[in-house]
Amino acid sequence: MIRNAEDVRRWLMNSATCLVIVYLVLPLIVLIPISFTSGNTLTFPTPGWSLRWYSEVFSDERWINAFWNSVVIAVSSTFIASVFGILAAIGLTWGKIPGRNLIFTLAATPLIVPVVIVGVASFSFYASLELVGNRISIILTHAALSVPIVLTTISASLRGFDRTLLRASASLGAGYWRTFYKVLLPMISPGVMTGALIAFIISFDEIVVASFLSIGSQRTLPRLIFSGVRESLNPAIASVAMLLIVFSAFVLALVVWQHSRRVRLSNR
Amino acid sequence: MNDGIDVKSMHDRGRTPSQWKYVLCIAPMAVFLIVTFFWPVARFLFKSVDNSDLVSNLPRTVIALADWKHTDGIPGEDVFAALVQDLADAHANGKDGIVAQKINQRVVGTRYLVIKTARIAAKGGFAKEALRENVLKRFSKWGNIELWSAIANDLKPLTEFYLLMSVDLQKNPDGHYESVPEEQAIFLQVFGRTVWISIVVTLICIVLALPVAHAIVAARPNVARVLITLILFPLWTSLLVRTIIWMILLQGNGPINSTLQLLGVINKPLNLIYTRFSLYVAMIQVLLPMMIFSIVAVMRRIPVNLMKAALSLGSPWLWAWWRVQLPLIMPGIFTGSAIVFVFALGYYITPALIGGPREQMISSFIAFYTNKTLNWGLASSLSIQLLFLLVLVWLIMLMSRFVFLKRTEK
Amino acid sequence: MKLARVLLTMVFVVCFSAQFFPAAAGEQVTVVGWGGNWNKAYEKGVWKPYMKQTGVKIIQEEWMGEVAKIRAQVQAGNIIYDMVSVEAPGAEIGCAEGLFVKLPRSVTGDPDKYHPETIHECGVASDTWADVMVYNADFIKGKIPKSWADFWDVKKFPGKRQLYGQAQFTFENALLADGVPVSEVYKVLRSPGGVDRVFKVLDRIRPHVIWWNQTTQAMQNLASGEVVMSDGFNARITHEIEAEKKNYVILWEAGYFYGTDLWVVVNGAPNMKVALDLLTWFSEPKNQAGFSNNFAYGTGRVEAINYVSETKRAQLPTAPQNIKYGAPYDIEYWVENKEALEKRFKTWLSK
Repeated sequence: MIRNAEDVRRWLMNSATCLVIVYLVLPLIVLIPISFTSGNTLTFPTPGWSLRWYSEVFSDERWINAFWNSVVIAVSSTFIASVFGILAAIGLTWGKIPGRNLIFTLAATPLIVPVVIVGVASFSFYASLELVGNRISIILTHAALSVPIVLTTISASLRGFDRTLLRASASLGAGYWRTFYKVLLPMISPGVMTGALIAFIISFDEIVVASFLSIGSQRTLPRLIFSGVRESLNPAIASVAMLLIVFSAFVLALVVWQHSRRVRLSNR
Repeated sequence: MNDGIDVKSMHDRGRTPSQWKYVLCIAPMAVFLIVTFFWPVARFLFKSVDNSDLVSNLPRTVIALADWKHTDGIPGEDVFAALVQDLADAHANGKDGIVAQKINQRVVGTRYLVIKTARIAAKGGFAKEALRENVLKRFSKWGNIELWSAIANDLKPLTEFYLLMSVDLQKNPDGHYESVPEEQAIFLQVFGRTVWISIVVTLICIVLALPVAHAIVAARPNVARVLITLILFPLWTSLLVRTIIWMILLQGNGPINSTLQLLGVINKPLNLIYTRFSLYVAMIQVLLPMMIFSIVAVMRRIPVNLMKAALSLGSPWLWAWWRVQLPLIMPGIFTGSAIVFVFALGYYITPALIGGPREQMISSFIAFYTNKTLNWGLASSLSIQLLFLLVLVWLIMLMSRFVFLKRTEK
Repeated sequence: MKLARVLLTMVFVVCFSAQFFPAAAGEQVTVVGWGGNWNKAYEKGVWKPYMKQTGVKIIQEEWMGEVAKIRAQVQAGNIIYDMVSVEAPGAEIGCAEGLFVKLPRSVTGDPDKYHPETIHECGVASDTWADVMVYNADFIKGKIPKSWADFWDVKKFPGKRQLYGQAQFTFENALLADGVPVSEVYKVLRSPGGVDRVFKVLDRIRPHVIWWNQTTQAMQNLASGEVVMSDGFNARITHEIEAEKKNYVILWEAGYFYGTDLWVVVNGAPNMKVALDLLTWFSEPKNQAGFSNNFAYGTGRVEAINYVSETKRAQLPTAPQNIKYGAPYDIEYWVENKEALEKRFKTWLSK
């Protein structure tokens, strides 16, 4: 009797889970056929198959330009966030800094404050610095948005780091920088990598700040998609979306691979 | 010998490292965040009380109106002289547009009055003698006592005007606060709508996340890993892209409608998109993974035996779950809810793309006033409201953590 | 702040200097439009002929009408846009703030030769659009609606209707439905109780209305038969009729209002001289027609219509056969009242 109820419960739980997963993932999969349509509109079933919308995207200067803008902005902001994040994580994890938790909380605020406010605020700030309309303002703001993530992931991996290794390295005559590069960085690199990849995605994906701060030619990919969508939904948007999904799948695969490597390393 | 000293000094350094080095490590990030984040946000929030556009462009009027009260009637010659002079200067500096905008925000329908007065004043078009009469003859609207008291009430470097407006309040001529007319009271409603949408999203997320979290915890490690990757995947996909996908799926001739039509379930397309429903669907898909992970993180730490023990004592499953398991999951639900709720509050892109006019949340009003009407004071005040709510959520979180800690200590 | 600015600039200019300084070219001008087909129409019909004629390079950008961005550029003295198409109220506000250059007559030509409200001291119309009444002939058969009063008449024409969820547009349409002639609408709105009357009229139709937020949404509901009638921007409807073979009918004769976006030249624009020259060229009716020949929006000069092909002409709000039913949106009225009325409208909407 109990056995039976247990099975029913399990069945219910599993089917609920399946439905939720379908809800989360299926939309992304449905996009695949739609993006290969040969028609002019986003209808399903598609009238036929073709690569025309992909070739349109790849041949349109605006999409390519926007893609490179996004890459440059994402790479730069990730780099900046990582540098500040690593340093601060070391200081916060190892130092006995009073108000440590407060600093963590404060550093996390860029993640929490609604991005519209960040967008408007940085817009008026960089406008007064004459920095609106070039990439610097977007890069710096994206870096600020990414710092909390990088800080968190790196702090986590620093906590598991055996500090006697540093002493060992120092006792073998290595200087600060050498120790940092040869000992510390490789050990915490999974944390840095994960943080950096998330930071990259945050920037690559970000649209509100980018729309406030970009003027004309620094338009990022999300920004271009956004203005395209408001006018009409055409299959070119679907194929760009598809490319972005493939791109994030790739990044996610990197993270998972990093993660499993870390697990393997620590198991050794 | 040498070695020994070196190692010893290294050990000392390792044990009691000089703290300033760590402070120095933190400093770059602190400075960076202050310069690129805290300062800009603070500067923007200051605009909610900043009145310098009005005060600095009407310096003489500020002095002339200092002792005026609305019971005194229409101001005298000196005030008009000061105003005309100020407006002439403002016109010469290209500031009359801004002054006109600020006054029009306070008394609707006075923009052109100010601009035209400034133009004539700059040309010296008002005779010096009997200036007041002259101005009033040309523009009878300057004989409106409410206009004068609105200006006089607010000629201070810091104004509460925008903050009041953002909570549907205003100052009457006596200087008392009162509600704005009912027909203008929009912001509390939008605020309520924003909170309501966020609450609904959070609750649905909890309901959907619980079975998934149970399944992940109960599954074999390999299955669990697959499940987690599947849930992670949408989290890694662009929010914009996911919103667009819902636009495509839910549109009139989109896959969902055409499939249902093919199956003969419906004979004309359902109105799915640009409704509250579509907004919820899109928002929950984005936010659900965070709820799932918060709950899973907590559930993993709960010993499996607890439930088994409760069940073996003969209590029904639901009862055991309610009394034994749920209290232990509660911290995870709370964290997840806080994250989901806070993110939901700030939603802007998704309602803009997938919602109708009645689905617009507070963020879209902030963007509207910033971009379109250039009313930054109001945009900033609305932002303060939103931040205030975030701080509230954060305090509740702190308190709840305190409660949970106490309970587990028992 | 000065020091921070210098440092920040130095660091990043070093990092990205290559991207910041575009290769110096011959004469060029940056022109900012509304993107998509609108930009394409301008490129094909106006910019290309001009470039061919003068050798000037026109760089086309797009934006979403955020005047705040121009304000930021001007205040910072870091101006990227030369010539921008701005919604009329934005042009009015920006002009009063000194963001835009006051255009001399040598550029615009005689203001009397423009349609009313399509010329401004700071700009000339880049496009004249209209919010028109439309119905889907697939769903309305037999008795067809003829006026805004019919739009409001749910007994004669049962089914949902659709209106733009904004005070502007909806207010005018409501008064038309209440029997106010187009030429009197703003007189009524400005009179005491005028706005209350609008809300009374709106109350009558309220349960039967779906409010749209984006053109995509409006077109979708019209196509699916979710609504039997709607208002909408005429070029988009024309596009659906031509490209998507939809069976829509635009009712010009029901009365409509037309609005303008204006070409303005940003104060301190880096290529001011070229921009002004381009505008001078554009002010010729013949050259304006290049846009209307590729897009169903009109332009400012009355005579421009003579250079538009016969088939295109019927689609334009500025065509003689249509404009007799239309009137311009009152820019002054909306600049003064937009915030307050929009608030009141949204309050009513969410009740």
